[in-house]
Amino acid sequence: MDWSEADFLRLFDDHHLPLFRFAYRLTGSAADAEDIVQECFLELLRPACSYDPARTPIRTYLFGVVRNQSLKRLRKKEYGPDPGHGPSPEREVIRAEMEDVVARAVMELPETQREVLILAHYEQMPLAEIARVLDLEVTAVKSRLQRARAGLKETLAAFAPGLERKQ
Amino acid sequence: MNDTELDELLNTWKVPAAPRSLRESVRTALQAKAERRRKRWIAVLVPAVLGMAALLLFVTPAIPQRMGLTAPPVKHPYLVDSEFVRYSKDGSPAIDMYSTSYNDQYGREILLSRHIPDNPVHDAIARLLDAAGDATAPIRFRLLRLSPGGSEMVDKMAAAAPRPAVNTQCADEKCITGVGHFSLPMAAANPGIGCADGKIVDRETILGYPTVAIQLPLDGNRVRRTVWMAPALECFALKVATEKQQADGTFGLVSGKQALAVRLNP
Repeated sequence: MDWSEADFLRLFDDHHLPLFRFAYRLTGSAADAEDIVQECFLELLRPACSYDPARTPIRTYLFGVVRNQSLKRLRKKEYGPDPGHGPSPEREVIRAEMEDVVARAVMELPETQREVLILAHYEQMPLAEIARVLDLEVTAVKSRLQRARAGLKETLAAFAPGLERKQ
Repeated sequence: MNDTELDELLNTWKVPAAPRSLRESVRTALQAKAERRRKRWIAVLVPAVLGMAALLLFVTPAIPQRMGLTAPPVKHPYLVDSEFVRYSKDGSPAIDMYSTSYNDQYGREILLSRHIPDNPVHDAIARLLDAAGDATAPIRFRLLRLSPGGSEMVDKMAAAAPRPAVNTQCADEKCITGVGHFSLPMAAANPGIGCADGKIVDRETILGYPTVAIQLPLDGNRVRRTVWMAPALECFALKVATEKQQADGTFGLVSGKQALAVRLNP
């Protein structure tokens, strides 16, 4: 597909922020998220690019590419949350900020649950679209989302707003 | 913990801002690709021109029938002159190209000639590429057959039922490499059923020819294309409008085609 510079940059402006957020929350690394989003858009310029506007909305396609690139990177490296979100002793001692705790809890979810939770909760993507991005049945998306939320409720139980107020 | 409490906790995880350099690096990559493509074109064009000259000078006299050079000119019942317009972000139009074309019996728009206004260099290159493309088609098909899976692909293309198609816009920004075309759903443009089996969104008389318009959603409804077809001209699309959804949800024109004249028995 041929893109004019103006069209391509408009596409970038329309989509790069949610894609960056998605990549960041999957990999836990801003630097990797930046690389992944850049690669994602460059993918569209490759002659062998498989994007077909008649079959797939561009947003779905781009999220699919970011997801694949992120998983590729995660498999290459042993990933944990960003150093900023890491379990440094000092942070452990002074009780990590809530954001760090939540980030770690999400990052520790199984990959298959994490990607569904991020798309559904943080990107507010409808389940049917998530199913298309991940190439799954909607029922599988639903069940992964339920498992992810149940797991997080368990992990984060101690940090529930009600409990926190009592401490 | 209930769902609302979990949602509140999840919402505490913020994402750092995307670096400003990201846009610039994507733009640089895009420009580098355009530059590579330009160089590739130059590298291809020079040998292609020389090859074409050789072909025309030495080869075609030996096989004139196969090249179609001695065939009598085909008579068309009508020809349509059209202009192709591109709209900028503020909605102002610019004419990309003029064309002369007609529809064959399958409802496919056949381009006879085209012209890029205000740029004689692009115009000349485009004409040369058009001529080279037509003349080398048999050779390209033969080469394609030699590639892995190419023979099957050529056979499939030959066996496939022709689908109605309409020329919609330039294939590249400079209009050099050809015209982009768009296959219509068979039922929507089959001349045998009056062009309008799809959902009719408009009826308009263009240049004295009544047309029916059908609208086709593309790219998951973010783009829509409306095609006004004239049943009296083998469902030729006298007007095409391509619109894209804007950030506020409304649709804005991005490109279009408009017939300027219909010449009967030219």
